[in-house]
Amino acid sequence: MVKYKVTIDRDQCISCMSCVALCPDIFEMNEEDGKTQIVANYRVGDNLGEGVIPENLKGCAEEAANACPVTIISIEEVQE
Amino acid sequence: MWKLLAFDPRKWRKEKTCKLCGGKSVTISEVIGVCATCLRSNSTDSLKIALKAHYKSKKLYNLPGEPPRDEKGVVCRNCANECSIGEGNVGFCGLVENRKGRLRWRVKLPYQAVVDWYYDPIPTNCVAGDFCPATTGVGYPKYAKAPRGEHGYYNLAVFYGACNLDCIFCQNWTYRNNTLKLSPVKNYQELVNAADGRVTCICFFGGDPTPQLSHAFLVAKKALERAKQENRVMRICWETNGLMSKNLLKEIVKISLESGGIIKFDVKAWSEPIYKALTGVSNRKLFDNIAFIAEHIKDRPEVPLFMASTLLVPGYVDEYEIRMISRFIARLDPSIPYRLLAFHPDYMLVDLPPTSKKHAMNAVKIAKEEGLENVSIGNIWLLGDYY
Repeated sequence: MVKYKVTIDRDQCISCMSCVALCPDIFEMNEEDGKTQIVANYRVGDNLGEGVIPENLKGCAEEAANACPVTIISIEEVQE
Repeated sequence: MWKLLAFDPRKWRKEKTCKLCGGKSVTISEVIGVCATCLRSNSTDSLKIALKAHYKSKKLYNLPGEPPRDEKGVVCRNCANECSIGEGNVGFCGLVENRKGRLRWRVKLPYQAVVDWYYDPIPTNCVAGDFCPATTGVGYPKYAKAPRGEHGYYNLAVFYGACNLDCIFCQNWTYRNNTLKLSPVKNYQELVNAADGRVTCICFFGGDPTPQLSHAFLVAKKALERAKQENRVMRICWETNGLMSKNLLKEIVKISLESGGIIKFDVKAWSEPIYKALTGVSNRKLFDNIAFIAEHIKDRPEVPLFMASTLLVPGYVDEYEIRMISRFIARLDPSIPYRLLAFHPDYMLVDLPPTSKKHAMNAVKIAKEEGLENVSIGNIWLLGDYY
């Protein structure tokens, strides 16, 4: 089954929360630093900025990545 | 206080003097301090004088007089100002701050925003009213509820309480109090609930939606989902200065195309020094943003995706400004509607008269000469023989 790895370069996040608005299934605000992070469900290990999502969420993740004003969200296909 | 002073004709009938060239005219503003010719020919010296008005305006609300450029600051790229905000300081819009080296918003975006709303009965006084589905039925049945106007229905007018500009003629200047008090704050769900069967369009304005776009995206997305489930028309429109980051603009275009909405840019001026004198910020990215939207106009021919408007500020937004804006737009697509709006004294700019009939008619003529096919005048009742 095709899955997708989503990565956020959290250092560069400006906390505008557009990704959270467009794709709350994957992105949420970290209450401590105010930046976006991957929701616990899809997170990989301890890295708040890395996750693996199922194919049905790919469109939503792409919409968030395209709208990000600092272009810090990347999506790549992974085989499992 | 500004409002009470705004309609005092003694202020705008008087001749004022340009502090640089000594020229005198009723269409020179003491608030700006210099004339349009000096602003364009000697922008460095002129802006030293003209920007004082913005320092005064922003100080009233405890905000920086110019977009901050702190060398050690964190850069916010939400809008074209790209404020570099030093630790403990706030951006030009007043909503984003640098807390311990990290940008934090003063409101819980995207779920909450400094925003208010009301139902505006159709036909509204929308700047796009002459060609929008709500008033003309264009795009029926996909984008309009009725073939000849949606009488009995409402626009959900969403007024954001912050702005990335500081227009000294601002006609909605009270939004500054909302930024200052961070009130009222509304949850997105309240707006989605309000977008019920009586509503056929949502217009995000203000202030400006730009500083809080993620809230608008969430409202739009959820309102569109609701309308789809209930098999209803729901257009999403934007009335904005157009100075958001390009990627955020891409999302605005996407939402507007899909819903049948119109993007309305208020193009305040062509020349950067004139724009800066009037708004406090640069317009360098504005025309790039307009060109980007224009690439998508043909994606939805039924309803115009984009229109521009310009306020005819006496003495400042003159023939040259209108000619250059019109030329730029006409080269992109001559069918883009362009609405020229009559000015009236408001907020701080109370020493200029309302737009004269001659100024407005000449502006229409110039816009048409440059090739624009759909030129109109708004606020026509304000026009008179003032200069």
